[in-house]
Amino acid sequence: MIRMEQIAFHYPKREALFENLSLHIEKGQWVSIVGPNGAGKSTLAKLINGLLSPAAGQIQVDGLPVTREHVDEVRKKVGYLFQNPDNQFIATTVRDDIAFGLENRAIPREEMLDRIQEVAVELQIADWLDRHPASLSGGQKQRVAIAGLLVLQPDIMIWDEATSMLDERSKQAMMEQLKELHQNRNMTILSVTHDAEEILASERAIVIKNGQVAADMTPLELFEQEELAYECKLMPPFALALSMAMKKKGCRIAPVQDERELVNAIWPS
Amino acid sequence: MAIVTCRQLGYRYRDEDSSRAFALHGVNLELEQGLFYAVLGSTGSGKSTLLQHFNGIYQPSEGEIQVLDVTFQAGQKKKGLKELRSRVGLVFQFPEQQLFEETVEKDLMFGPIQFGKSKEAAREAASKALAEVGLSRELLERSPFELSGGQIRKVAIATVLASEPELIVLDEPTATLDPVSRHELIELLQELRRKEGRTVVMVTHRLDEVFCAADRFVLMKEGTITFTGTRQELLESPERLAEAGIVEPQMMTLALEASRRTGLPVAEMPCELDDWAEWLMNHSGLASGQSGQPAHASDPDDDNRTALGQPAAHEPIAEEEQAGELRPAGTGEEG
Repeated sequence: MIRMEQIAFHYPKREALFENLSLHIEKGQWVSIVGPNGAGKSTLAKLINGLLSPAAGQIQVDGLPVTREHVDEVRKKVGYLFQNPDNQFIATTVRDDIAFGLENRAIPREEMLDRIQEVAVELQIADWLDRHPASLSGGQKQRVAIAGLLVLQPDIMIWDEATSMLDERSKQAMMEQLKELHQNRNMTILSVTHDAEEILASERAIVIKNGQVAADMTPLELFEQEELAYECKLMPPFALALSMAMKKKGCRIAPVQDERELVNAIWPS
Repeated sequence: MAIVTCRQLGYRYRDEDSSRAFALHGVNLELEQGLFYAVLGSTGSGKSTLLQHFNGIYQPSEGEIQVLDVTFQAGQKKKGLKELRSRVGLVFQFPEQQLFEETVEKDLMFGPIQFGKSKEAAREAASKALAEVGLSRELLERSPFELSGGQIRKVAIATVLASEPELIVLDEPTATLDPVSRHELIELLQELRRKEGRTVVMVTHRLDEVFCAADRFVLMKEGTITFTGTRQELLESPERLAEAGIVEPQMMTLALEASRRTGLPVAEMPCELDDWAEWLMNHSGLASGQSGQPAHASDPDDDNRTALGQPAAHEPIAEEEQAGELRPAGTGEEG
């Protein structure tokens, strides 16, 4: 689905960020991209949808090379959700904003309206279609931004720290959204994130460090490698950290994902 | 001694029509000197509006607020707030917006010079503040805009610390920071409170990050205060969190569940990770015969541990003997 082969990349007048980076992601996989600050996590994501171009190496998305001539095709397949919800609105109503991508692709009006309605119902934003995007909360804006991507029917979603500016409730709602996209649409998901719960919900954690894929493992394995996790500026959720601390003290307990699992492990009923 | 007192404080944004609700309404609040307050509430609950009353950016539409020795009353516009603003440091939600000079040092010196310090004294204050937030002196000559997100945030906080305010007010300082930087920032705030007796008021929507660090919790909803109290009081009324739209921290859920299973009061349960691990091993069937750990009750360090029912640290005093490096999280408080 996504193949990056021997990628080299550097920003102008800076040292090389990637020198020989290769990475394969299968269709339908949910992958978390993690790494220390400045390791190039977002850069990697932007290379995949052609927002940036590598100095050397090849990138393919669903068999299509990510090159100048195919970039429009690639972007139809890859939806990119940014960190700041305010940076992705251009229209004065939610409906027009969602329509923007469809208009650019010359989709007939009837079909366009149907598709907007369909996605609005799915994301539970139908009541906001006539509102100004600026009147929405951060979490609502991100939901509208997701609708704007989904309406284009992408196969891949890239979330670039998309939940980091949201409050806890909105973040949890976004996580549920991500789980649904993954389960119901078999969507391939790449998420650049520091959120431990989101990482634990994904299937694979890829650590980008020193211009390379430094580790490629399950999210739980990542958190169990405490030094590496810390280097990536990650901290395990309390329940997982606690189960790991108990294990270190000689307790026979498997790592747990949340406090419910912990309680069940400690006091089996 | 109260450092901030709000009596029936209300605020309405000028451009709102009078039929619209107050952004703040009927707020009664007393903040004691030398404590760490966490203010929580969902978007639009009035947290930021309240905070901006602390140094007179907003002045009451109703009631009054006293900050240190300055009283703001509804209907009386106060001017000449330089002295108050040197004593109350406000860190905005996106503190990088507070930076504007060409070097980090100039940005750090700006406040102290404005508040009457000599250039030399301001330079000294700048170095000290930068060290306090754990950044290297090498950054002094750099442009603030070349720094990483986490560094910019820390520099912005240092610009406020450089004026040595008695009251440090921060509006969601941890938003968009990575988890490790968030943790470090909260440790720093605890240090400022513990070592220097500063009062800290921090707005956040993540209760988990301040659950063990804060002394008092203030919950807000729709412009009013719905709860003020200690951690123990919060543990006794978890329904208040749901009401204010705040997610219950995993530690709190665990403590409540552990209390139900063991019959022990939540106030006796620990705060720090290692203490929790031992507590659980000693109060469940899991540890027996497997861990070889001593029972918690016989632990020689027992007196030094902080429990959920205790304040995050003892009353504000300068603890000279602690001067030096930050202690890692998970260490019990000194008794």
